[in-house]
Amino acid sequence: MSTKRRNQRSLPGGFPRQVLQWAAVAILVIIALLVPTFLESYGLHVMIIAFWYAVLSSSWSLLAGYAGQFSFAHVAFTAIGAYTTGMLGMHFDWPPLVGIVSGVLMAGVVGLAIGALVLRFKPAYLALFTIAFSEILRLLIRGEPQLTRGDHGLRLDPLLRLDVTSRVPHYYIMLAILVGCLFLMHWLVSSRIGLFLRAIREDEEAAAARGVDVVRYKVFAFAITSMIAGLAGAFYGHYTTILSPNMLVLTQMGLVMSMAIIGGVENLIAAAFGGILIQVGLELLREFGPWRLVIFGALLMIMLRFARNGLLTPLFRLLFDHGPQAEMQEGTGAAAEEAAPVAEEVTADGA
Amino acid sequence: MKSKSAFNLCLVVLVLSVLVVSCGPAPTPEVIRETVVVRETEEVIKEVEQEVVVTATPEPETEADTILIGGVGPLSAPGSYVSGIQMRQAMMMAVDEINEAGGILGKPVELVFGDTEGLPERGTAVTERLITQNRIVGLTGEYHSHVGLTVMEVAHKYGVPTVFAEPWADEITASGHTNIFRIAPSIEFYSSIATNYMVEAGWERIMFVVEDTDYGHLQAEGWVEQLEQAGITDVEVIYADPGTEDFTPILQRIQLDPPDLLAGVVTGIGNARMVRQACELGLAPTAETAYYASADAQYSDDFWENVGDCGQYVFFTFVGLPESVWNENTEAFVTNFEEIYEHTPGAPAMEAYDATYLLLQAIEDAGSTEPGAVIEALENIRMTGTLGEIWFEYTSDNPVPEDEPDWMWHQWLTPSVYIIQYTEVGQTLEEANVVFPMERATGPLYTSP
Amino acid sequence: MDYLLSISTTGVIMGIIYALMALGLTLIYSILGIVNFAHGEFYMLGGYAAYLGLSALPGLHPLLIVPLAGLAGVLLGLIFELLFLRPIHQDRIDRPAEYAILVTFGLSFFFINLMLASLGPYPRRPPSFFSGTVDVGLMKISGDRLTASGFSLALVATLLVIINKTWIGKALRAVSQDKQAAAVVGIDALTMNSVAFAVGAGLAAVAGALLAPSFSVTPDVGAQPSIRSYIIIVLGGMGSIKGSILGGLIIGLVESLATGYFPDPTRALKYKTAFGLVIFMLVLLLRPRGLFGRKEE
Repeated sequence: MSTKRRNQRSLPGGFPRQVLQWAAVAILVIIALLVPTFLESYGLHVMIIAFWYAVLSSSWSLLAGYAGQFSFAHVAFTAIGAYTTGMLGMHFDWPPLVGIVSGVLMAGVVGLAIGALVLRFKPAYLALFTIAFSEILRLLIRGEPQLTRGDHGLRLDPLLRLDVTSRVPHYYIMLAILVGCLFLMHWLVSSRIGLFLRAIREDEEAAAARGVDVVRYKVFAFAITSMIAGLAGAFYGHYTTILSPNMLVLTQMGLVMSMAIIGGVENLIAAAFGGILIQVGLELLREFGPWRLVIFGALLMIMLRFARNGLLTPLFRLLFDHGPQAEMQEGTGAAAEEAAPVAEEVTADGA
Repeated sequence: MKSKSAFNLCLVVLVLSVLVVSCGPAPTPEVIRETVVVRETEEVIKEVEQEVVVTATPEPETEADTILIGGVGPLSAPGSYVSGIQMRQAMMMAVDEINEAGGILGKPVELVFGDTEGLPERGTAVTERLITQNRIVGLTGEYHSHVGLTVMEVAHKYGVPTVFAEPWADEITASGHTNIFRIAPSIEFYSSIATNYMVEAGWERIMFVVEDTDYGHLQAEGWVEQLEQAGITDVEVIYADPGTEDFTPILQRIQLDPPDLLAGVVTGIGNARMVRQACELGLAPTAETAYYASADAQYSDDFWENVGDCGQYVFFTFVGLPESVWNENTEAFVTNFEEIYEHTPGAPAMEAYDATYLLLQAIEDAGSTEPGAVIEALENIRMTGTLGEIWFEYTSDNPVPEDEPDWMWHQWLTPSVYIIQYTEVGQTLEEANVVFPMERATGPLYTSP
Repeated sequence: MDYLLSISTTGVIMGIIYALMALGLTLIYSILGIVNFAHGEFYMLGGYAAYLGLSALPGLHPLLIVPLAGLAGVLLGLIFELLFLRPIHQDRIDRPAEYAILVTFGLSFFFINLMLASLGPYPRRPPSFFSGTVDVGLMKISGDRLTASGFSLALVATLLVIINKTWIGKALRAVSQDKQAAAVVGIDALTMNSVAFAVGAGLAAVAGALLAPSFSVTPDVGAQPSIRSYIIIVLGGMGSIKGSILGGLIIGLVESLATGYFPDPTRALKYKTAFGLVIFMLVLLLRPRGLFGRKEE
């Protein structure tokens, strides 16, 4: 497909892009693997939380940037994953691993349902509906302490029967989850599915007319990103070993969105890095108290207005060219054009 | 036609919503509580086993040229940052004063403060940072009980001497951890003052409107139990979303059959809203119905600004010393605090200030920052702070007797908890009547409108 | 019966103020086609404007601050519209619907933290319009609330007249119905956008200033009113002026009747917000055009 063709092109310097790509990946992986050797325990904690945010911001960017569904319930799905495993552990003594799997499934099932419900909504309606869903969930978790322990906090067993002081294993697990999710999502968006999603986003009717199963792919995108959020949440719960309904406050969702946007909402990896950089940045600037959030809010608006592709996307596009931006420059509807023959192919295969 | 179907839809929606909300599961809190206690005990046992290994990990740098102590508390939402900010200010004041007087063990003292944001998971992370990265030799602070519990676990894991300033949950000292001390009242003790007052005043029908948070639940459960023991059973608790703007409809419902006492246990802005709305409806405080406000009423400037004339005759529980029983420390503290921060210190500020002094005094007494020595010094300490004379009755030399509750371990048993009533509009906290306990009262038990 | 009446009175009084705020949101939606996610923050700023204004000008009658607070809202709204929303309609933004959601959400994040950082979390309250209460026979109603409700009623009526009778009202309606046709007859859609957003923000600020003496202000005080406004405009039908006024009254009534008659009083207040949200989700699912919305093409 055309994305692949583009990747094989050379950079102006005559350098094969693929070499540069692999080199960049290798350097990043080495740095990520070496982090525990030079960071102290709290630094590692910040990184683990940053990876959690990165999973959320990149999966939200798949949902919003690629599939065009601006959901405000993404953090709610991470909470569903976390609370599912937590409550199974508390009431039925289920072991963490089984709990995490259940959490992912639960997030997937609820994601499927919500995804199907919001299918035909216009963006504003979708945003409002998901806000309402997320708020109701928060009120329920806080309001039914006999089930969820409410504000008091739900206790979870630690994932590893290790001393909490050694954060290194948790660091590697969260890193693995992040990298794994990124690979999965990268594969999805560079496959037919990604192409269909973009075609739908740009012109739903045109895509449908050309044979793309709009319903199936939109709901699929919602469910799969919800499952990823649920997985991150379930692990987050077993890592922090305590959950409170405050993880669902709307500002958390705002934070995740900002991370994706400041990184670059139309590029998964840029969005993930946005998550990491902002979480670390907020931590380093903790001394400035509320003012850092003021600057952050202003930055968010300015980015949206003047740099829609985020701060990091231009850099990443050089290396990981799979964003829809390239096609969009060639004129709107290009993705739909591209998707058409593929969709026809699929229909033909099915018949 | 069109509007009729719209109306029908409305009706269906209404009925459905009522069904959805009312079908919620019936509360069965007791059962769950037991499991949790068991789980926590298991955790305690696990931790005790690990203790030997863990205390060796972060070596406090005894050679360091400053004495680093840690403070924790909520400085941002969703935490109660109004109190957290004051606590940090009071701690900084204590540290500055001590440094001006030459420091501790001849070294300057430094305070590192961690923002726990009212989130238990932040509590764990921040405490661990203070201990492993900043290498503090002692810890103090925290406001929220649910955060305090997680802070306690981490502090215990590393064996860092900790004096809690404000979290109330009984479990904090009931944990029996050797390094955990508390000068805040335990919730059982705190609630009992108001209970005794209500019994003394002779109110028999009591209605609580309580915020649906940890803070509200802890208090309401305590009261219901204690009032029942005192033979007062006509007690009802209504839980409210803490962001509630308008309490009027529920107050009108209560007004159908006004109780003897209406208690509004809602923090922050909700407290002021409920006081005003109850008063504007003519429900309380009236000759028939008394009004009990949340502890936020102690910030008298803010209170009067927000409730206007409605605050007259309102009473509330206050942790700290009322002016009539101030000692010279309290006087100096309040004067200095108001001068530096241009705000009246609340009870959390006084507690944080005393807890900081207590911790540093113990280090001085111990002659070193070695945790064992500091803990021993804390067990034997007697210090007059802004809240009165502070000491810990039940320690390793004098264990908690069988017939006393577990929370008395390492707990200051006589924290000053008073019932205060505003009898005139615009009174400051100092001018208001202390009405209970009676031996310290400066005014009649209850002034009725 | 008296109880039913007095509970309903409470609901109607609040409903009128709710309607005022929802009207602002509707105005913005029907002209600009976007949902203002910072609507609650304009409400909050209106409250602070009243508080700060009356601290600076202690001689002023508290009621006179309300138009000034509204004016402040209008100005802030205008500045924001020109800087961030106008480019949408000049076709300089791709995916405008999503952009509008995010940029107004960003504005709300910015305003909340700005007020938190500069004025702190303490509840603030401007002086009462008229202290004391009015006994209407059934019940006592506070002077502040009655004033706020009366002022809202007058403002809603004025707005209806402006929208239906004046040139600018006709221009606004023309733009909301058909932008191209409006352009043909010489109505500048961009100007109308600015007018609608500024007036919408101003209405929220007025509601905030009106309710500040009753409910006090903190930086996060906008959350409840804004969620409620979304519920109202969806219930009434997005973009319908009549719908948002009636929706406001309905929600005001439902909130107080539900609290007043909910079978289990201990839970009546706990799920007050959730209750409205459930209605909201059901309306979105079952009848997305609400009670009076235009049929979607």
